[in-house]
Parts: sequence; structure tokens; C-alpha cells
Amino acid sequence: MAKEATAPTLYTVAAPPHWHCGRTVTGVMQQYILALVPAAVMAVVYYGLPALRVMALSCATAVAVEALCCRIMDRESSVDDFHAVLTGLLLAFLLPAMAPWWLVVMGAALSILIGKMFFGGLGGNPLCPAVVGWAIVALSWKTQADPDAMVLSTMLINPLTQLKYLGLEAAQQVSTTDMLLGRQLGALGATQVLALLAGGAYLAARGVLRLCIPLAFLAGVLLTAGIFFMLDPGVHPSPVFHLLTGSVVLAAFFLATDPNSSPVTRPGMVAFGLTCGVMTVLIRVYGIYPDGTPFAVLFAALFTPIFDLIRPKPFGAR
Amino acid sequence: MTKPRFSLLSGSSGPVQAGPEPGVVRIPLRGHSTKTIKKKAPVNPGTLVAEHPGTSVGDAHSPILGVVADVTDAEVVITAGPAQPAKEGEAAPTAPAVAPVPLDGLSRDDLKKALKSLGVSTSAFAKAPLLVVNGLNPEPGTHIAEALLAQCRETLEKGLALVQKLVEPPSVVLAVPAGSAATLHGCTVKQLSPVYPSSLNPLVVKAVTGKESMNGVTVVSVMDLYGVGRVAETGLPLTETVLTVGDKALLVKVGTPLADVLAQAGVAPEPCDRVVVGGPLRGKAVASTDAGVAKGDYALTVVPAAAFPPVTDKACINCGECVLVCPSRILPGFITRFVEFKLFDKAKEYHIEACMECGLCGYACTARRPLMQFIRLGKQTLELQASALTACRLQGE
Repeated sequence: MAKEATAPTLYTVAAPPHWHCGRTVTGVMQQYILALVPAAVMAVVYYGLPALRVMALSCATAVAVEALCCRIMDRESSVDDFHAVLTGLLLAFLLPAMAPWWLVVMGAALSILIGKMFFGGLGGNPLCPAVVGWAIVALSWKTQADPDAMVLSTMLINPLTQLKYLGLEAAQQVSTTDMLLGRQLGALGATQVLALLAGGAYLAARGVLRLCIPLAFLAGVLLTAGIFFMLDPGVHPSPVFHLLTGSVVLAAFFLATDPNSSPVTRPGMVAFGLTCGVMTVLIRVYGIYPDGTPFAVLFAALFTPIFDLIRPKPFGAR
Repeated sequence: MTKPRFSLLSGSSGPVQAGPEPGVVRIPLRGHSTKTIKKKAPVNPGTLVAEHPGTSVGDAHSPILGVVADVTDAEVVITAGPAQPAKEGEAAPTAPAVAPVPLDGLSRDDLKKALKSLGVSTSAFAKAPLLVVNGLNPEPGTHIAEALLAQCRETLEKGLALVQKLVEPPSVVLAVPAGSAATLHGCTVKQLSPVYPSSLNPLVVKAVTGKESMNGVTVVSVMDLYGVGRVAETGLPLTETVLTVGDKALLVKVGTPLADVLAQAGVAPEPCDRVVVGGPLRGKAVASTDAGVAKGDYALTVVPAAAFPPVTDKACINCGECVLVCPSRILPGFITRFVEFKLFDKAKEYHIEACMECGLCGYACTARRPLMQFIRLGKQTLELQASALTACRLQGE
């Protein structure tokens, strides 16, 4: 015991650098969730308690499934990094407000399971987990995952469906202001355009979000839609219409920017964002889906390894 | 938490003060031969204690009057004070006094030998058509380069004259932070952005020559120049180094325990803080402050225990922050994952060797992974593999 009393003071030994910027995974996820709060509030304003129900159920399921997975995999639980909550919230934003409970549970569970935990947890997932979950339920239970079929007791109309089945004139019933304010039918959070833009701007101002991908995404949409609009203004709506409908803004700021499935270099990010934007409009014009934004994100994410090959020459390389 | 600043300007640089008078010195050895000196031998300031078998690494000398207490492979321990006689009545043993070595008028090779025997490492002073004096503070939080340029111009110029004899450059450029008025005789001054990492040698050379290559350029730091200058002034062996500790610049005897230096500077680390030899981004953390200051050390930094979130072993989340800050334009996130999974050839393919080890990737890492550690591990493993391969080839011949 006497030996312990005279033991020299020991200091912490660690690898350099000994400073850190203070940014942590938990902190970043919290910022993302905070940025989604305005859109969540707007969703409750338009759709009432059913929207809250879907969001709560989705988040709770995602957290429970991740905790269970960690238990089964005999790992330290990773739910405290808030990524499961964020994934659940993003999935809820892509679902209709009246989605049946089992659909929400399936979507959230599959997001975490197939989207993330099968690949070893956060950091391993090749695709954005929320989009994976959405794609599975949207393809498996087409009617239940479709806002047009589920949200019946509403005066809102879905401009994209109108465009697909009734033509340009029907689609233009909804004014630009209404679309900005979220007065259009769609997935519960994806159509709150102004609130999502505010969230994205907040993240960019805090330095959490790099604007390369969102801006390239929006530019891709505007460019492609602009070309179609110029080719035949009688059939194709204006580029701004494409920008403000469906889940373009949500995908640009929150789905495509999922760090694991997006490239890391600036040129790669721009190419990735442009691909997402171009594919969104192509799917809308030629595809069978009124809105193909999440599919465009999935498609572009498959090419991330190729975009990652666009890298600058290292210092001193000839 | 306040965000650390990367400015390389201190704003105020106090005078270079004399360091503590140590009661015991622990002179670190870097491959030096320990046959030169025996235990209990008396030493004077400047007495040779360990020779280096190489031709360009400086020998080690005692900085104080004292007696050798211990000799290990890693250090020579000397206790201060005159030697005690073995028996009563006998005179106390003494070491011969060290005479100054004249350095004027020596040829290049003789000068090199003389400097090595005076404890100056000459490996960095290769012949080159351009000599760049790096006058920027090496890292944020250090300010010795600034202090030396402002206050020790004569010593620096004497050192520069000797280094010029070794390098034989047609032109000499002094790189200083923008806004600095520092000059040295015979140097063209180039002002650089005073924000880390612009003080790293490859980036200084790029700013001076416009080329991303160190070929044909010899870079000398102001701290090294000062060491050579002291030798030129006195003709005595180099046994000091200038350290930044807190807001002070101290001229410290090599081998002085870190604890003494910290006490002199009025910095008191708590248990579990990090005591870092070097700057906060590249320095080496030590477990104990008993160790001695080594030649070439330039800073002693204390990082409080809870100041920053700790490093983890979590997976990379591919956020790309490390790529955005990397001055070498490599992908640290990818390279460290390759090293983590022992894919060293892939790491090489992604130009791991271009890394300047500035530490910024680890600073910016969201997942708080030890990126610089992984990169160093990868570099070392690749070097070992290459040397093993060479050995195999030689055996086959």
C-alpha cells in the first residue's frame, strides 16, 4: 500500500493529434434530427395526429430493432448515437400519414436490418437505410405505401400524380406558394418543402452538412427538367415544379447526403448529386412511378464506388 | 468548449528565458554507443558521454558538472554536483575541462565532422541549389520560431553562415509568417499564410518554389539554425534546446526532466492530462514527466483531460471531413480503413506515402478514429515489407 502512495503521477498517453474539433457522430445525428423538427411540425399541422403516430412508431421500431440486433450480435449497443432515431424519422417522412401500423413497423425494421445492421452497423451500409426500408415496403405493399390511396379524407391533391395521369393542366392547379408551404398531397414529411429547406440551411450554417451534394442534386433536377421543358412546354412542367414536388428537397438535403452511401471528394459529390437529380426527372418522365426520387438516390448510391475513383492527384505526384 | 485556433502567430512572444537548473539530467540516446562513458565517472559541461556510430548524427554531451549515475541503452543519467572522493584524504576525481573547437576556415567535410562531434546532426544539411529557412512556428500553440527571429538574430546569422558552408546554395530564402518584419543577412524573405499547416516543410517549399517537390531544396528550421549558431558562437558542444512551454520560450539543457521544465514555466498538469512533447497536432504524449528533454524538441504542451472527446475504435462513417482538410490531397478515410483491415497494398495504391502527418485528419474525424496512428502504422508496415523483400532478393543472388 505504501508503494501505491508514492507511485509517480501518470499522464494519459494517446496518439496524436491531441486536439479534436469536437464533432461526434452523436452530435451530428442530433443536429440532423433538430433540422427535421420544422418539417415534422408542419406534417402534424397538415395531417394531424396520424402523422405523429407514424413518426413515433417508426422511430420507436427503429430504435428497438437496432437495440435487439446489438444484443443478438453480442455488441455494445449503438442506439445512443441517435442514428436509429434519424433513420426512423426519415422513413416516416417518406410514408403516407395514414399508413397502417404494420407497414410502418415493417419499413422501420427492414431499414435497420437490411439497410444497416446486415452490413455491420453504422459505417458499413452501402445505401441510405431509410431509403432501403422505403423501397422494400413501397414495392411490396404498393397501395398501403401510396399517399394517394391512403390519405382519402383530405382536400390536398398530389401534383405529380395529376401530371402522370391527367396531364400538365391538372398538375398546375397547385400554386408554387402552396407547394412551398406543403399544401400538396404526398408523403407526410417529404412535401414540407419550406420547412425542409430551413432545416437544410440550418445544417449548412452549422457546418454539419456540406452543400456539394444538395446543390448538385437541385441543379441536376433543374437542368434536366429545364431541357424537357424547353423541348415541349405543352407536356412538361417547369423546372421549379419538379423541384417543389415529391421528395426532391428531402432527398437532396437528407437522403442523398447520408455519409456512408455518398462519395467523399468534392468532384465525386458533385457527380453524385447531378446523377441523383438527373435520374429523378428521368424516372418521373419515363418511369412508371409519379415520383422516383428515392429510387434515384438508391441508383446513384450504387455508383458511389465509381464516383470515389474521381480523386485529386496527391501532393507531389507527377 | 472553445475551438482550438490554428493560427501560427502568438501575438506576443516574450524573451527567450534561461531554463531550470536541473539536479539530475537524463540525456536520451538515439542509437548512440554507450561504451564511451562508465558509471560514476565525473563529467564537466560539454564532456562527451555517448558517440553515435553514424557520420551525421550528433554525439551526446553532458550539459552540467556532475557524476554519471546510470547508463542504459535509452539514456545517460547524470546527477549534478562535484564528484566525491572515493577515500578520505584523496582528491576528488575531475573530468578534463572542455576546450572550444575553432570552426573558422574548416573545409566542408572537416566542418561536418567537427559539427557532428559537437553534437549537431548534419544529416539535414545536404548540398542543394536552394536553402530555405523555415521561420514559421512549427505548430499552433508554439512560438519559438517567432521569438528566435525577433531576439536572436546574431546567433541565427552565425548559424546560417555555417549551414551555408555545408549546403553551398546560390540562394537562401527565409520563410516568415505574413506581417512579420524578420530578416536575416543574405536571405530573400518570403511571407506565408500564418495558418497551420502552412509551416510544414513540403508546403513551405511549395510556397517558395511553386513546385510540389523537395528535390534540390534543403530546409532548415530556425530552431536548428539557432543550435548551430550557439555552437558557432562558443565552439562548445550543443547541449541545449529551445522549448515553448505555455506562453514562455525557455532555453533548456538537454536531459532536463520534463517536470522541472513544466515547474519553471508554471504549468501544472493534473493526473490523466496529456503531457505532449511537441505540439498538439503532431507531438508525442508521455506517461511520466521524469523523462529528459531531447535535442531538437521544440515544445511541451499540456492538454487537459476532458478538453476533447476521446478517440474511439468505431467504424469510419465515410463523412469525408478528413478529405476536406488534407493538405496532401489524399483520402485518409479510405487509407486508414485499408490499414485497419491489413490491405497495405491498397493503402499504397491510394498514395499513403504522400501523407505529411500534419494530424488534421484525426482532428476533424467525426467518428474520432486515430487516423494518423493508422497512417503511421501503414507506412511503417510498407517499409518493413519493402526491406524484407530486398533482403530476400539479396539472399537469392
